[in-house]
Amino acid sequence: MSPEDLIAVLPEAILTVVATAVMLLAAFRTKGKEEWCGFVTLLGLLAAMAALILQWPPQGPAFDGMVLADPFSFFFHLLFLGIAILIVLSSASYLRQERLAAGEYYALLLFATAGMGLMAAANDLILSFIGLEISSLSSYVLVGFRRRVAISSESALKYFLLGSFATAFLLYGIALLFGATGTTRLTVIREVLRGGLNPVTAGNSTEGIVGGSPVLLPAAAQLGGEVPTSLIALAIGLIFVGLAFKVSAAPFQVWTPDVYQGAPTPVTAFLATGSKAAAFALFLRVFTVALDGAVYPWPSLLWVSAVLSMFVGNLAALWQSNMKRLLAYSSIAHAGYMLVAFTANSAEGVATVMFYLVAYALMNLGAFAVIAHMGNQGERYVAIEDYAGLGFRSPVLAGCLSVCLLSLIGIPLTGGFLGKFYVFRAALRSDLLGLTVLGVLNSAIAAYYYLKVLVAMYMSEPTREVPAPPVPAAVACVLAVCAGGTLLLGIAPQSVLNFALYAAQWLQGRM
Amino acid sequence: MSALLNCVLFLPAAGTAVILFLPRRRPAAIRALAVTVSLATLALSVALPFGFVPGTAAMQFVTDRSWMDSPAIRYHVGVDGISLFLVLLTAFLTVLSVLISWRSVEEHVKEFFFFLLLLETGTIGVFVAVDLFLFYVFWEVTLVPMYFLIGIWGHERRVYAAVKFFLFTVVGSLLMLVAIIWLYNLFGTFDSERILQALASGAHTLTFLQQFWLFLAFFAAFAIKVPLFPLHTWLPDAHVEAPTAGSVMLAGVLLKMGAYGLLRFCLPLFPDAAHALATPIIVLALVGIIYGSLVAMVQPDLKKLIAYSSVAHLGLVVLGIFSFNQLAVEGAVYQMLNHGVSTGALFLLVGMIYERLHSRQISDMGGLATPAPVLATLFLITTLSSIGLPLLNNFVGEFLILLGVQQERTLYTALAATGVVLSAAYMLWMYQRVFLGEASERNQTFPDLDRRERGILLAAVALMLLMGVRSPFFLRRMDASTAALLDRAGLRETRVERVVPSEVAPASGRFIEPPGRRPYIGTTEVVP
Repeated sequence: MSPEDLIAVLPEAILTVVATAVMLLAAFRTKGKEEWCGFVTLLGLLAAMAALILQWPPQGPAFDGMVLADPFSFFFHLLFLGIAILIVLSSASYLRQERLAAGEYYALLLFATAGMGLMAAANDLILSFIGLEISSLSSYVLVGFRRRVAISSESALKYFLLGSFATAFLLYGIALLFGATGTTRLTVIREVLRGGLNPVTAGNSTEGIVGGSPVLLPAAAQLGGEVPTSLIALAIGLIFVGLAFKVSAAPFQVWTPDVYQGAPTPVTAFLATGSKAAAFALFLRVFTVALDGAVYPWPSLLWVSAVLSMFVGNLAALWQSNMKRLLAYSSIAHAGYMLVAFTANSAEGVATVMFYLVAYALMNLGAFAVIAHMGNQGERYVAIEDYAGLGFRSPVLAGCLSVCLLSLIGIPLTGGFLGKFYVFRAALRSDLLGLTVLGVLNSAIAAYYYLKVLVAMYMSEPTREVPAPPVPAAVACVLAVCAGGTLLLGIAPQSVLNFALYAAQWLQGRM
Repeated sequence: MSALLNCVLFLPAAGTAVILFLPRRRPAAIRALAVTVSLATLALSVALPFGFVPGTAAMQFVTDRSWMDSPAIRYHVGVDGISLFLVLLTAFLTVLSVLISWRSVEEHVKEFFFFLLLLETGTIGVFVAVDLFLFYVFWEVTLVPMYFLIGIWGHERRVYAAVKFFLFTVVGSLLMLVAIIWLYNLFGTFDSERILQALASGAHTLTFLQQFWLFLAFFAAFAIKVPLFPLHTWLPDAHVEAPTAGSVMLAGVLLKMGAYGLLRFCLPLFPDAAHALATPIIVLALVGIIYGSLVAMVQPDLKKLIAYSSVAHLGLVVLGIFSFNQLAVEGAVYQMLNHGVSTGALFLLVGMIYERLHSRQISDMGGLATPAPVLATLFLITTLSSIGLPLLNNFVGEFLILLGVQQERTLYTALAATGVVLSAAYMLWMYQRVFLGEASERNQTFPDLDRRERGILLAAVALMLLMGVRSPFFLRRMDASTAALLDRAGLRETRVERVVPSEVAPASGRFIEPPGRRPYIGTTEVVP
């Protein structure tokens, strides 16, 4: 381990140290510890971001190639840290109102962010898995953080059970892939699958498995160095199940609505944006780097999942009356749109997914910030009808939510529109006309349920008294960033898109 | 010169930005700002036709800049003879809409004028965009303010109408989006001018199958907007439920976006498909004309009657467009303007009656001419304009369309003419039931128009008269553009007749054959 190695994971290191510090702070400070914890967390996130940005240009492999600090991971780190900052800002008032322990909450959030960072930077399936587990375990706890509320505990349990099950699938897939290729290093797997490297000796290569000890691989050895195709196919399927669960793509989406509804609203926002983005980062890296689509036809698998996700998400969302469930189904549908771009299996498609994740994070964080604020104590006001008349009671709040919703629909001049536009463009480039048309149809279906919220806000009379507390400064800040960012991304998307494209090309060139 | 068009386009948007920062408690200031901005926009756009050079089909007042580089999206705007007056119409009707809402909109004044001005920018943007992506952006931008205008300030079933309007439009426009992206992937540009150049020079060609699907995708968006029978069902709901200003903008300009799109993109980009599909489309248009007229005849609701008459009128426009005859196409463009002015005025009148009676049912009216002679007179002129009385605007458009279509197929003209006859029937019958006869006791005290309302309507009526007698001023500026358009779309036959009395004929007179005019050589049609 050299100093360079440490620098490559400096953001994660900072996050971990700060998380520990926040926990200690919460234990030892008696007065005003909520504010202090939030403040220190924010500082930690900013420090991590600074550590990241100062690293530019990314130095490449570290820890013997286990970690890969490339533009791709840089992009995702920036996204995760940005999301975490916005979540922290919108959590403070929520925690106070729900009387939740701030120290542990922030610490878990930081750990989850560190795990997500590792997921994006890992070039080794073992490290990917560790990153995934760090972020998952933290989020299981975060989901059940309102422990006095039954629905929160229920959703935590559901998430934990199903999540562990899905992770087991993923692990099994990793094991099979290792069995077939003799390595867990993504770049090496790629060489093996392309036939450039003998699977029996892959373990011996300098870039091989941890420790570099030679491993005899029964499956591959019996075939005399040939890669067993069926084993790979099975591995792809299992890894796909594990990751599709994490991005809440159909048919592995069942947990999403319940967990999103039960989790504390800022945590829901974190799951919908951060966890999803991290899972997509892993998804993209594993599938485009290791399991090159030219060799293995996984795009057809994605095709099916994309179509299912869009239809399940959008059709189910039509009947929802709870805002959090509505956005949960919408999040399934949006995973579907992103899978459409992923199915295109091109650098452009990868860049589109990355751009979409940014746009999606902005609009969703904005929407969830409003929901968290509106929910009031105990999240009592989360039904769509509670938003009746909001448009004229709190015009700015409703205006921000409207921008986010219009972006989710995909109206031009918002980030959501350009995201969808790039999705369809990438899909059409790869001659996926059928998929594009299905995606377009789904966008039209989706318009209906987002409109329901707009109708409530601007065109309905309130049926019951809903308190309208003043918007705290931190939440106002989040809303300004989200609504402004959404519009900015819709008008001047070039820098984000170019960077995503650069990172995607780098990812593919690295393959 | 190009700055002028950009000002027209973005002045209303700047107005919305200012409105956002005006205090909600001062509606008078907001109204004053809205009227100032819309009047300024109108004043600037009136300058457009005077700076416009007739006799060329090229875009004028052009701004062409890169907006995003990958994919290459350009901010490319300009007007030609087809879009020039549509911009003017939008600016004109926005002023009327602002004025008519002066007192009728009392709630949420700030939001109302915000959306109205946003709508103006969106609509003008649709008419001036040359880049397809830009066109799509503006196309969708019009959707949101209109949705809110109907949904917030509309009548009883406003939410239903607003959502229906939104969903119908979104389905069509998303299909168009796919087609636009497809075109981009084929041509590497969204710029319709560059695509047309590539097609004309033979650098790129579209197979018939490609044309067919692309045409259908564009057509879906435009046919819903026009609306063409049987996609018109959103229109009566939206028109009836919308507030007066909303109806005026909807009927006056938003429907024109559909017809304009057909002309601007469907015909020149996919001429073979357009020719192949012309007959079924014409049949639908004819059905729309007759069906719309018949349904209008039996409406008990005054606003709905006018809404259905729009279906019929726009059917005539589509008929003119798909006859591929220059006279008919020019008539169609002119008719788009006429319909905007006349039907816009009709909706204004209905709105004024509604403000007084709080009813739109014709049975609640009757004998209104006695208590309100000024209203009755202005209503009569508008009615006569709408049914195509000579000297008034609609006559010119309808006549040109019928004449042009007659040169292609007599049967179509005969059927379309029944629509014109029917329109006289239902409009006059409606007028009789509303204004003539004995006024009921309740209607005895029906107040006549006040000064603001008279001003609004006199402006509209003056324009009807102007467009009726000075049509060459307008048509002369359309000649070159329509000729070039039909050139690209493959004209069936060349007409070199002078039918419309022209002002002093310019050196490059009307219907003089431009160089390079070629007979239509399509893959699917035999040149007669």
